[in-house]
Amino acid sequence: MAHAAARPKGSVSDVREHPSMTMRDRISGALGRRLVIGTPFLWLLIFFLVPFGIVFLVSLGAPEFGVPPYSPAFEWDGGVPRFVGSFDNYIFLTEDDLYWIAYLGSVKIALGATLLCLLVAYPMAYMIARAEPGMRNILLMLVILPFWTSSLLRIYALMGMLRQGGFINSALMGLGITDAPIQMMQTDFAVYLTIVFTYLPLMVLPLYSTLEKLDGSLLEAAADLGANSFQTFWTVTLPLSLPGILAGCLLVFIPAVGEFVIPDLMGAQDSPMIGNVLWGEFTRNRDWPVASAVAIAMLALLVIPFMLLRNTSALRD
Amino acid sequence: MTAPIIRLRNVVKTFGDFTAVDDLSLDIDAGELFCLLGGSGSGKSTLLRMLAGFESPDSGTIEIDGKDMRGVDPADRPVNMMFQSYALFPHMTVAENVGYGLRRMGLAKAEVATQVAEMLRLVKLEALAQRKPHQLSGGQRQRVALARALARKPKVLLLDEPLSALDKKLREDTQFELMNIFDATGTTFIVVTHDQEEAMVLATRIAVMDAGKFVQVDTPRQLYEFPKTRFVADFIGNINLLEATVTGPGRSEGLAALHCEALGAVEAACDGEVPPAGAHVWLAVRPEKIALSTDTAAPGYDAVVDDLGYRGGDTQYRLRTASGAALKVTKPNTERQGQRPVDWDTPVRIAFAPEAALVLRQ
Repeated sequence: MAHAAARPKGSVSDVREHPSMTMRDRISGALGRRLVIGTPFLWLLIFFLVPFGIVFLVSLGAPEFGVPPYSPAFEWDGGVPRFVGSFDNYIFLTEDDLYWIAYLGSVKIALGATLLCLLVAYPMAYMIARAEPGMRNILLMLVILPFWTSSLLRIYALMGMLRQGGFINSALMGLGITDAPIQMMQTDFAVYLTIVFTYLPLMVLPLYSTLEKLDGSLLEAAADLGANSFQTFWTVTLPLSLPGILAGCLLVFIPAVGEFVIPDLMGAQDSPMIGNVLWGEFTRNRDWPVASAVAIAMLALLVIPFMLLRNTSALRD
Repeated sequence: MTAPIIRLRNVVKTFGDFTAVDDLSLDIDAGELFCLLGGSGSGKSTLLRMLAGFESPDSGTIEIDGKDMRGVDPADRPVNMMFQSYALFPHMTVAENVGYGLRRMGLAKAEVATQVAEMLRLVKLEALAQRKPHQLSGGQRQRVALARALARKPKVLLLDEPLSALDKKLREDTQFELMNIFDATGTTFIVVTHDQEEAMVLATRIAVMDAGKFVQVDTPRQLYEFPKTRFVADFIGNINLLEATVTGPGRSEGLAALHCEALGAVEAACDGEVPPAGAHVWLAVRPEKIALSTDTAAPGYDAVVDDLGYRGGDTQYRLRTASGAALKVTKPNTERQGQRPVDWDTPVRIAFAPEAALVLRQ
């Protein structure tokens, strides 16, 4: 009775004020949202889509002596653009074995290196995720730390290790294990090793972030229900870390396919990767249209399978 | 009498300098629904995890079904656990979750399917067998977790706060469902809970835990009506605890005469021997065992209504006695109309039978 009388009034007017305030918020909020979402789109438009369009147009032209060193795909005919280009460069790509071999070789090396990266990174990420919380940041730091030096420097450091008179060969011969230096430079081994070494953090970080989120009670539940540690890993940990595995593999595979510094410095000269071919067409051959066609074809061959993969994984969920 | 299904002897577990479980010994018989009841940090969850095999005791022995569990992996123990978070495998369907433990036993596919179907029938989830956990409500997930833990037909089922994630209404229904499943399976259940009401409803026996020790192990009724200590009296339900001094034996067998600051001369029942005169004790009376009358000529003690809380089914009064001590009294609202709660600041008389009050020595 006394309580009911003491109940504060005026709550009705508070409610009435509410809609007009959200209205104003909604207008400024919509503008802010558009700005925030729009900025990266604008960025991608200017620095990705427009250059991509330019490269595509160049790929339709023919090489010429002059500046720029290609004929345009369109000519202005009385204010109306007229298509004068051709898809000859793409047809040329299918006719010359070099491009297919380089492309398939690149995919092979990138796939192999991605798999090796996964095999090395998974136990690392797992151990870091299971370490004491204070230790985790230190271990992660150690994974990222090499990234702070230029990748070129790290590649040169590896060259110092692997070359004929390098650290490894000197050590092996000094210990009497081998008589002659082992050829490691200019082999696929050196390319794989360097790609794994260079891209490892890109694999460790997404794996770590999924493994770290893995609920420990799920592992206990599996053990409680009779699973040994291998079965627990195979039936619980691995399936639940698939998103991290997929993300890490994409992050390593995509740049690895187009890699040209590493095969150029470490690999054998007779088996170039597609990135080296691209580089050669642009620089040595000065054939910008064919180089552009290589770039576009490579992108198409990479993007289409991944879009299919994405759709199937979206379907599964 | 058969051998106890669980036998603890002097079990100790410490984490750093924190003693989670302090020298516990206990026997639990097969077929009991045993509750470990305590606040956070009382050691109840640690004890459960030691039974499941996720922690090992620093010293002492744990025997389950007559076998020493030292060094036995969780996978090889005749117990299964239902986790507080349910710990359902998010990438598996309900049927796959329930069948997980059966597949680990190496049963044939058809046999697993039959047993999964049987378990899903038990928890009434047949229709949802192909759903993923994220497509289920909280109550449904709880039942999947229960079915999964029961699928291997464990000797002992360990339940860690089985109902704490459910809302109040659902929790009450689920309590009774859990008891039905307990009856249907005949498995020994050990339930960890911080909710005394839940423990009272479910358990055949309750161990009240505090600071890693058992304060009292008894049936719910014994715990409520004959608490051994103030801690238990206060932890289980509501109670008035008043300091008092023993003045001598009461008028009949088992009663003690007390002098209580709050009320004056009172008599109360003793659990066991009557303490000697002069002993410092506590008078414990449950709020619902105190009669309240607006008739100022009624027998009993004077008090004034300080505050009241209408809760629908009953009304809780906070009274002030003549000496200024606070006292809680609960009265059921048995009539729909006519019965008005006693108003603020009304002088009232309170009374209770000596047998309804209890003398506590510690």
